[in-house]
Amino acid sequence: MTDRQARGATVPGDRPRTRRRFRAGAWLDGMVVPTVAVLAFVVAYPTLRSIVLSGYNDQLLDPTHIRFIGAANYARLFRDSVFWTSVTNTLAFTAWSVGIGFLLGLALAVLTEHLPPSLRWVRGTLLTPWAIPVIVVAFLFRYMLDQQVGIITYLLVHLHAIATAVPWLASLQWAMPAVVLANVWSQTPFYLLMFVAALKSIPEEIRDAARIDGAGGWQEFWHITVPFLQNTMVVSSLIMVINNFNNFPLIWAMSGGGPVYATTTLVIYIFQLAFSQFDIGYAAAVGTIWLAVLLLLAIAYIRVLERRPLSAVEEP
Amino acid sequence: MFPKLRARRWWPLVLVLLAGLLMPASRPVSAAPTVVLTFVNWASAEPATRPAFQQVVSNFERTHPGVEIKSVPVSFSDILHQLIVQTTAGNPPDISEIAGNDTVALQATGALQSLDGIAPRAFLESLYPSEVTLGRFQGALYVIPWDVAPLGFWYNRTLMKQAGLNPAKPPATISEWTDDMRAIKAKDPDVVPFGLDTTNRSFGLDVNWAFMLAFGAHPLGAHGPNADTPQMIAYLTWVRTLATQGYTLPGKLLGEFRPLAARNQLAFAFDGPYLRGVILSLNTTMTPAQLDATWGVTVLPAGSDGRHYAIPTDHQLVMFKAARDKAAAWAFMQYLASDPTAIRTYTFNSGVIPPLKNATALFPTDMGVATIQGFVRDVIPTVVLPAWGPVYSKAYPAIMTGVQQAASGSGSVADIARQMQAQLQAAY
Amino acid sequence: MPRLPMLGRAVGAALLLLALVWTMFPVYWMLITSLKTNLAMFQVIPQLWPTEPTMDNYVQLANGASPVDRLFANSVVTSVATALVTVVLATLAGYSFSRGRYRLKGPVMYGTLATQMFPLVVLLIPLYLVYLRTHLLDTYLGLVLSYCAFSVPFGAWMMKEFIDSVPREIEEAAWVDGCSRLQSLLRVVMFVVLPGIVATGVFAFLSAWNNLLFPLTLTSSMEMKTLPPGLLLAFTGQFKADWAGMMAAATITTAPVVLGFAVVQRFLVEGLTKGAVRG
Repeated sequence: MTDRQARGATVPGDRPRTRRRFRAGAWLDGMVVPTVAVLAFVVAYPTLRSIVLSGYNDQLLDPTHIRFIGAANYARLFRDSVFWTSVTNTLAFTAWSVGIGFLLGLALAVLTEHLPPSLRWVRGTLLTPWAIPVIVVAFLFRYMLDQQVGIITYLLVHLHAIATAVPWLASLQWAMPAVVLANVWSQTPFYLLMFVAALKSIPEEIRDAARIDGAGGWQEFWHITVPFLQNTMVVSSLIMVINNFNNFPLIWAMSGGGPVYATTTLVIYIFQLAFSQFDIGYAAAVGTIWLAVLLLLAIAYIRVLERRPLSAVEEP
Repeated sequence: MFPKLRARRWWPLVLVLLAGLLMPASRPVSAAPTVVLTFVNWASAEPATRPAFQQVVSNFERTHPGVEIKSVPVSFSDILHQLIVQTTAGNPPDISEIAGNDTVALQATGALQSLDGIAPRAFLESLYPSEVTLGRFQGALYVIPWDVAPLGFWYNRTLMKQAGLNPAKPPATISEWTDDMRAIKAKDPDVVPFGLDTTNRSFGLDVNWAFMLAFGAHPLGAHGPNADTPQMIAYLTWVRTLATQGYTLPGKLLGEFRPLAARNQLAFAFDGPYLRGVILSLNTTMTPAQLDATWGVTVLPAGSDGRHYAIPTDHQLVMFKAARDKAAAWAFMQYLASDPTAIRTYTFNSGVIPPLKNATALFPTDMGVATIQGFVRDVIPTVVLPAWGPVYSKAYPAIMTGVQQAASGSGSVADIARQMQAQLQAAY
Repeated sequence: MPRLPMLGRAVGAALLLLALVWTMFPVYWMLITSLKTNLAMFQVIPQLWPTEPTMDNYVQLANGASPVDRLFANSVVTSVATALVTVVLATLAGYSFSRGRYRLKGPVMYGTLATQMFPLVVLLIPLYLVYLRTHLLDTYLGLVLSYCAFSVPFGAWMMKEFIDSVPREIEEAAWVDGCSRLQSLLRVVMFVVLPGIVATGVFAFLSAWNNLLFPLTLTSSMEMKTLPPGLLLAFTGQFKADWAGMMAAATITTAPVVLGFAVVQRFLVEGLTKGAVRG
């Protein structure tokens, strides 16, 4: 089998000689039906209801005055400074969390790839943060970053990295970094796992071939590892971008969206609108805008996914 | 369209697992009672109050055979959320514990049962009149008090003496108080002079409301917001002073200062009668006598108008219109509020005050505790209501984020007040 | 083993050590906090090792002061069920996305991804209503369904990527032997992408494990709550927050998951894919 065939490209004229399995006229594949059913029930129907809801003035505390107001919620949205703050916060939180987690996870995956058997436990240990419920991570970091009794604050002051104790989670500049710190700590194992699985799938022959050709560690990384990991990189970062857009427990338990909306992301804002202010019509409108933004983002991602060549490795 | 499925050895296992999921969750089996009352509350959620509460429930069920109480624990900060979601879905509980603005907001949705005609006159007359008024909306009674728990001014005599202040004379005015805080901070930088709640919740605004009143700030007027005033600016400046001088810790919930109080690291607190119980449970080496020697309770220092203010954080009980057996539901509500065993088991145990006028006569020992006497004598007469209601629910973020901004030290206080005013317009 | 210069290896070792410290210090902190009393936690000079270690918090847990055992059981059941259901549905769907040819493939593929784009938070009230009418409130099935709705689409896309990289020749060999598509999936493809399946399962498990919003809203009784809302409910409150108790509960409930991880990751690493793709 040639290398090209090994990478999944079919040779023209190659056809299964058994009866055709692909009935091109089929509308839907049975294998995908259970998934579609679950999604329709749990997501599609409530989503449609929510989009409809966004055109109404629906205040749960005032159930007698529900009325259709068309696009008024959206007009209010554009004038709402908290909304725009939450958008930039969401982008910042997601970008930093995914960026740092991605790099850390990749670095750790590469570092732990060829550990001797006696040190294999290191990789398992590095996965621990992911097993700790995010709520606990939030409270743990809140405690460690406490202005008065937090160990991190204490160490920073005593190592003279900072002059006086900073109230991290009550500070306008430091609340977001604090939350990102906890988030990265919690999520790095995911990237580590994804990249470990992907690294395993790089064919040994290609690596051997590169080594025989005299490639050093760094060149091997750039020209062989990275191209093979491209798909995993794109998919895992997309998953985590969407995950972090939706990240509620960590921020809620750590900072509650404060101080003064400094860590209020879209999720937190919508939660407050829907369940503290009970203004669900407006909350649905904010949610619909979010839907549009994420759809565009996902489409962009998918274009990148599809444009990548089937094989990134040049033929010898 | 469907590929051929051949039974594999492990398919049955998966099916059994999925079938197991379809079984409804098993509930404890009991002899079929005639009435089941659902009671949403946080008393059974919190570790501090759960055991005593469960005791009260079993006492009630024993003395009222045929009634079973199904307690639904919900966290204090999620109560309104839970009740609104359930009510909107057409699935409200029979009775709920509730407090503060949540009560007023809930009442405005029209989901509550009016208690006129259900609550016996004798019972209502046994309550503090101010408590009964608290439960009236547009003339009709909707809410009864489970206990009385206003926020009062606690002062730590030990820390005051240590800082050279007179422990028998707690500060009577805000400016005296700020001076006292400075002295305490100067004496020991590890001590936090005062625990101010600066969180973005309706309860956060409840706490700050008393101070705003003391400074003469009334941000929520009857016809519109009134936040851009010199009085509000004075108040915000005071908050800024507290935060930047280290007289308080910014960004904390009221409850987060209680462990500091238990360690004698907090000099002043604006907290309810339950602080006593919390301190004793945290600091197991402190005896009640030591606590009473250390902590005193009095009225909040007065502002420029010379008046003292206190804010109620009473736990209240409401019945929902959809409750099927209203007589049984009322029996439980009345039991919680006025039955002597229930009061001894739960109310005093949580460190709060029963809503009965003659409580001091009925329970001399429990009511004789020094801090409780401080509340009954000094604090309760100064209780005022914040401007609770649907507007309050929408307005508190604008006000509390303004307070947080002031505490953070950035931006001019005048700008903050102006911004607060602009944001409050949207709430009206 | 790639040839790395000695300096490279020393640097690598130092970095790994740093990574271990970064990873384990908070875990260590969680452990020792669980051995302190709430009072000791608030000492101004944090105790790197508790001066008066106490097992009180664990004793309280054992006494059933808080229903942590129930919370843990609920979390485990729903998370494992979510992982299993997700793996099954995602592998099927992923295979369909990768190999299938049918008219609605494009819309279904992008549709499943699109369902992830809407914030769960806004869906909660309509979803609560749907669940109320279908009696799914306060049930394991209801929770698992809602969790799956958010782990299956990602799982399907991930499996699609993994299955895409499996050469057709491997399956064609199976078809020649007379297998149907499903059989070739189960007998051949599945084993090649086993690390992907394990990763999907782990991801689904953990997203269910950590989910706060859904169990918060869709369960009301304490018997059915999972760990995240349950821990909040049991250890934080109006009167006082029992952080030390929460850390004890967290330690006890996290330990099995961490051990589970240790086992699974070894399986992943020594995976059956070593050498599966051969010339």
